[in-house]
Amino acid sequence: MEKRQIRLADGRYLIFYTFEGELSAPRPRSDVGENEGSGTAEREPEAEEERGV
Amino acid sequence: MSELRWNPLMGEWVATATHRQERTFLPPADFCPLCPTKPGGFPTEVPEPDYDIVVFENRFPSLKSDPPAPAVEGTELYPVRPGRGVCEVVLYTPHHHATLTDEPVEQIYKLVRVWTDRFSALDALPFVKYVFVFENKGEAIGVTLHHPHGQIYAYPFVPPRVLKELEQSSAHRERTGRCLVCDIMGEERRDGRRVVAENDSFVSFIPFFARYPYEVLVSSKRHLQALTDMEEGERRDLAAMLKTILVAYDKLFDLSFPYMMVLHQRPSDGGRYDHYHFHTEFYPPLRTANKLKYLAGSETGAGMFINDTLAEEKAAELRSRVAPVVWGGEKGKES
Repeated sequence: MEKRQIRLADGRYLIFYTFEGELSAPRPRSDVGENEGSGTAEREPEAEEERGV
Repeated sequence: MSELRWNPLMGEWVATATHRQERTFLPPADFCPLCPTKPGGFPTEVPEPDYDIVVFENRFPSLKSDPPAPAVEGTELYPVRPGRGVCEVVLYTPHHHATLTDEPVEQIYKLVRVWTDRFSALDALPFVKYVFVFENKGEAIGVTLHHPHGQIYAYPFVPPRVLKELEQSSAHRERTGRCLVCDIMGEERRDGRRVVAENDSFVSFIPFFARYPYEVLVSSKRHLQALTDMEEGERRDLAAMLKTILVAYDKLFDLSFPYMMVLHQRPSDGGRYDHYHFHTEFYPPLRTANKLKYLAGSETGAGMFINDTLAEEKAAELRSRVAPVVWGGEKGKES
C-alpha cells in the first residue's frame, strides 16, 4: 500500500492510497463511458505534493 | 463555526457546526463532489481523473484541527470549547453508482488497511482522544451524497456510547475476571440462533439485545482492542465478514440496504483498555422492505429501544442470505 498526500487549495489535506499490483475493482456497467480517455484536466488543481502523515 | 457545548444534564458534549447547514445535498451525478475530476469537467474534491481509495479532510467538518473561537462565551454551568478534532471523508471507490456491497472483497480489504492507517495516524495526535470510523448509507439514514464513502471523526473526548461500553466492560471484568464481549460472543455461539456468519477470525450475530430488527454485531474472535492490533489474516477476514453481511443485507428485500456501520475501538487517550474488545456494529433502519424503525419518544426521550421483531427470527432470515465470499474471482476463503 502506497500513500501520496497533497494539500488542496484551501489548505485541507487529501491522501491517495494505491495498491500496486493488487486487484482493482472492475468498473460497473453504469460507469462505462465516464472517465473515458486520458489526458490532464483543463484546470490544473492548485495542489502540491507533500510527504504523507 | 464549530464549537463544543457542554450538556450538564447528560454530562456530554454537543457540537455546534453551523456551516454544515450549507453542505452539498444530493447533487446530480454529473456534479458529484466525490467522483474523480474528469478532463475538462466539473472540479470535484479529488483533483485527478482516477483513484483507488482517497481520504481527505471534510470540507464541512463538525470538528477542525484549528477551530475558530466559539461563538458564545461559556459559563460555569455551560462550559464551551473550540470544536477541535479531525473529520475525514473516505472514498471507497471512484465508481459513483457503486456501493460498498457491490465492491469485490479485495476492495473492502484495501479499505480495512486504509482504516488501519488512518486510525494509527489520528490515534497519535495529542488532542485526539477517540477515533471513530463509520459509514452512513442511504437516504433513510440522512445521507446527503450518494457516492460510496464513509467518514472518520477524531474526537477530543471519548464519546458517550463508547464510554458506556467501556464502563460495562470494566465492571464485568472486575466482577468475573473476563472480557464482556468475549462472553457475549461465547454465549451467542453456544446458543447459535442469532449467529449470522462466522469465519476464522470473526463472528457476526444479531445480538440478544438488538435494538434494530437487523442490527448486527461483528466481533473479533481474538481479544483485541483496535484495527492496529490485527494480523494481516484478521484484516482479510474482517473484509470477508463485512462483505458477507453487506451482501446478505441487500438480498433481504432485494434492494440497496441502508445502514449505519460503526467501528468500536479503544480510546486514543493513552489509557489502558485491555478490558475492551474491538467490534463493528450495524444499525439498519428498515424493519420491512418499506417500513422504517423510527427513533421516536421512547428511544430518543427515554433511551429505551423497542424492537418489534425477534432477534432469533431476523437472524434466521439474514443467515439464509449468507453466501461464500469469493476472492480473486475463484472459490476461496468462505465466510
